[in-house]
Amino acid sequence: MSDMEPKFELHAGDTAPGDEPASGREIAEGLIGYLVGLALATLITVVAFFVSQTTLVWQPSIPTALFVLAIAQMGIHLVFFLHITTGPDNTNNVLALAFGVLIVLLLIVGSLWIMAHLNENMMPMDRIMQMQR
Amino acid sequence: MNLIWAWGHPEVYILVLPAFGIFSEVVSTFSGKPLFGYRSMVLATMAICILAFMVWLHHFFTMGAGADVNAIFGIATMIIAVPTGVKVFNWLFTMYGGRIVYASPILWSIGFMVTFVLGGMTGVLLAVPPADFVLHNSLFLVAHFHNVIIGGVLFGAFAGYTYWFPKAFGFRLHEGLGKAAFWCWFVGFYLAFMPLYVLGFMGMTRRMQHYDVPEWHPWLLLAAAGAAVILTGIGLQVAQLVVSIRRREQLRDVTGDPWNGRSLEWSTASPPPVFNFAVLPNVEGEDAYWGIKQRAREQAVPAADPDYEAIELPRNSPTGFICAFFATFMGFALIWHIWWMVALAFLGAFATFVVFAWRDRTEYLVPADEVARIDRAHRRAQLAAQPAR
Amino acid sequence: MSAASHSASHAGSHALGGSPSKRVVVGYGFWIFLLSDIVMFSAFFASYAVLVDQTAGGPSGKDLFDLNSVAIETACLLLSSFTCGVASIGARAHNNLMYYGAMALTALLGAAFLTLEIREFAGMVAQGAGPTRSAFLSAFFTLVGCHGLHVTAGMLWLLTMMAQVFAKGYRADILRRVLCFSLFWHTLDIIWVALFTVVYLFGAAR
Repeated sequence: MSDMEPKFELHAGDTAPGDEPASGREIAEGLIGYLVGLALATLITVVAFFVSQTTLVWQPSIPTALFVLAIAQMGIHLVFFLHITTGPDNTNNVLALAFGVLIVLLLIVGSLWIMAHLNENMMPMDRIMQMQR
Repeated sequence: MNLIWAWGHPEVYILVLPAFGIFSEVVSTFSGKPLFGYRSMVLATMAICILAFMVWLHHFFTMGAGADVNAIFGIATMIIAVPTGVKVFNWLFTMYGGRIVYASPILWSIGFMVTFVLGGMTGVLLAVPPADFVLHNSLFLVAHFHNVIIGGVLFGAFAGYTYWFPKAFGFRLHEGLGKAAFWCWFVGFYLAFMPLYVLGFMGMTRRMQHYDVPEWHPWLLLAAAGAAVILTGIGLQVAQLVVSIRRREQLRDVTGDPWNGRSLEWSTASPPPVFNFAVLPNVEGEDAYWGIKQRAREQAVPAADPDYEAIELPRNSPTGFICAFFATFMGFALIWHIWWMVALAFLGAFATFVVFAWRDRTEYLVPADEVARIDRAHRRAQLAAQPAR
Repeated sequence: MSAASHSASHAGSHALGGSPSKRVVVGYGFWIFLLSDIVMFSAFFASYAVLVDQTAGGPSGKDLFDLNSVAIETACLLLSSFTCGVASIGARAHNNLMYYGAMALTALLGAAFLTLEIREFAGMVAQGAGPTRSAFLSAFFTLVGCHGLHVTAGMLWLLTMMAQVFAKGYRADILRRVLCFSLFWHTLDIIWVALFTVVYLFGAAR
């Protein structure tokens, strides 16, 4: 089987997630992408750790800031490490990602919303325990 | 509770969507028409896929999530009825104006349409939170989900079983017994489950160990009679299988196309050869095999032999089975905290996997002569049967 | 169609108009697996977010988390994601030094991450803050432990891939596995981003 396949499968039409769409596969070119990603991700991580500890920023804004930073960093990982782009060769990968993100959001937001409501409306646990006795 | 239904509700749609696919195939084949509204069918499936993830709270309206949460999840649940309705109308319009052959697969499909719509409507009723507060955990609910799962998934599975049995095993199932089984199931289902709706309204809850309400008694007897009719249906299905195996020579599917099918699997022999298609078919639209047959009829000359080539196929491997064997032990050992067995079973599974990954030859070649021999035999069988068609 | 092109179409490396290459199919399939893995993590994140305040009178995140250690863990994982990327370039270029060197670095960084995590867990259990202490701690150990298990599995995979390339060379099917491994490793880092933000930074700020 191995001798029938080309050493590296070049392809038109679609790109596997993680593969770079560009035809140039020189080491230097690829390395620059990862270096930029690393630099940006490091920057955001440092800012996030700093923000969480600092007293310089208005305190109630910190959770939002951390959220925004985390989402930004995930985006950077996706673009620079996983090479998910908006190109036409990436449509399938992006669609799958969009569906995954939708389910993740539905599950997390829905659960938090529902459980907050249930928590508010249900009898406190010790009273339930007393009733069962 | 929250997480199990966040998984569990999408799961019931995953259960029924393949059945919907079976019905689409069966309805168009036995109506002799292409599926009505193919695009809207696909869109409806995708809409159901997404909506299915947005309704899970309707399994626990009564836990007290409050009006706004209940309202949103109730409305989302009702909205699912829309794409499902689109599908039902598409099947009906596929049948409309068609020359329907009433073989047993389409009997199951028609039975499904009637039953599933009924179950779907009681579902919309349950999606109204105030109604659910009354009906929650009653036999009304039990009747509802049996209505959609038996009428939807099970009828779909039976339709698919009868429809593709000749493709998989090379001979058809006995039609008479199959139809008798369908009617027993269909009538038995209504006898068994319609009384449960009534009982639900009368206040009977599910999972009761005994009851002492005389008014329920006649309805429960009726339901028991219905269960007996369903049991007869199951008996007939077993008999159908046994009889069909014994008479397999008479029921042999020689052409590979017992139903005058429309999709490509019917262009292969029954059962299909390991390589499925001797030459990759050129698909130009929906109902690809129908188009090929149509063109062949117009040309009235049998198509020339194609150029046969060797075909590469993946080798068989017992790796999955062996890994699952070790993984079962690992799961058991994890539950009972038998750590040495966890380690051993994990090593076994991992080693099996590595051995599999180390293979150098993962495929084998079916030589061109072999492909040609198998395919020519199939073409001869098809040609021999043609005047009869 | 010549014999060669037919077998190529069965091997799946058609270019325009045909089926996509095996690399695309395998990568896409693995991508879908990773997304479903992320959906599983989202259930654990949801549980954690719901249960984070239910400490049952026990210690909260503020009492337990050591941000310095978390910062080092984060650095290890982020750097390992980078070295893993370098390894995949090396594999593609058939550059031995780059591939083995970067894979070994990735393994070292992963091991450092795991050591720190195990030390953290052991310390918490020793303080009486094990998973049975409170709903918060159950959710914490499930979520963070599940990520840790993924990293452990990734380490096994990493070492297997080094051995495979050593034994088989840069064959197309081996390269596809390297691609999947690097996708897996990068995704673990993405989950860690959510994890250190939601669990540790929020927990310590609380």
